[in-house]
Amino acid sequence: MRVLALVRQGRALEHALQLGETTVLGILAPIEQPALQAARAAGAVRAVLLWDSTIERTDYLGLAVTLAACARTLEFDLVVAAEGANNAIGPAVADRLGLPHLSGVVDARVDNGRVFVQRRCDGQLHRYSGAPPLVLCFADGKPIPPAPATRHAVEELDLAAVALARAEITWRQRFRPRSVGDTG
Amino acid sequence: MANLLVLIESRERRPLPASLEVLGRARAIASELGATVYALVWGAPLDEVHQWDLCTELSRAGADKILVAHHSTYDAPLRFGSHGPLIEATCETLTPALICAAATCGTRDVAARLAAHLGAALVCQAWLEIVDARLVLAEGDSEGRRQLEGDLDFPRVALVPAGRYRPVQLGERAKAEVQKLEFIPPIEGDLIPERAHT
Repeated sequence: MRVLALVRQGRALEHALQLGETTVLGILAPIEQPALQAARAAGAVRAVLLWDSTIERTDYLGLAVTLAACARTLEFDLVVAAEGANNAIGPAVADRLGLPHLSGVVDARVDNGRVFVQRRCDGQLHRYSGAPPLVLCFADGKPIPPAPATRHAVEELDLAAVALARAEITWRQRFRPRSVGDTG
Repeated sequence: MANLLVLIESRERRPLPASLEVLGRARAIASELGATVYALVWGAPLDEVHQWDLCTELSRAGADKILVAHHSTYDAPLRFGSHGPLIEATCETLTPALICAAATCGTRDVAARLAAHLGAALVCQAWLEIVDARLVLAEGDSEGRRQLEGDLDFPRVALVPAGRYRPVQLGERAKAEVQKLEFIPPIEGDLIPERAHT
């Protein structure tokens, strides 16, 4: 199973590694490249970093559009994300990719090419199964451990590499809640 | 602002208290801005007595119009795969300026995908306020408060934490219009429930 882990929120990696051969995709400033190095050190076979300064000022959907465009250039069967505080990114990426998604996932396994998922909701566990491609949003997970000194290759992409124009990201700025007085 | 849509979750044929809190807040905003509050409620088919009770409770909690969708599919826990098509179809009909719901594990599965589908702004852990006769959506605490500003000509999806607002009680004379939605949920083929267990 080829798994694409969205690591911006950091905590999906351990689940992804248990599900199959994992590529980590981060929309991170280059200065945060060590997070992807750490993911490689933890077992990811490939790390891809995409950055553009416009991403800092966009909203959840601008991020999702960017991640989905990047995902289309990579091969995957499953996309794995961590919910974080708002669970905004995973479901929005699923929408852009046109894939089924499920949130509140606490466990997943693969059997005969089918994905079996447990979701916790209202104190109960509910079981689902499905054929990939799917997007799974995990409710929890440990952060990526710090990377050892060994350096791993991290591929760097820009918006052009994933066929996105800046305007496709920047127009979402006005949809993003801002601090009072923030004009950026 | 024309329409506000409140997503109502229910358990044991009763609306969740947190959903009634959001409905009450929507009522206050709508009264201030001259908008209409739609409450969308779903679930397994109900007999007439239980449906009457449910709609009476939603009327008294602030709904102007109640949209009822009953199907065995909707008896399962809320998630986008099963309930999303109903909610999307309702939004396409009403074109609400604001879609709001109590923040629960179910609405956390639905909100961002619905917002992405609509191209809407998304505000989680939201405050719904009226400032200078305009609706302001904010998130965060007083120090890290962020809000949507300016003339908002796009739809917004907001999740409101339980306990943030008090429900309203309009009294026995409140009577919302009830509309039964004849929406058949599409067959799910990709991610299906197996069985529930505690």
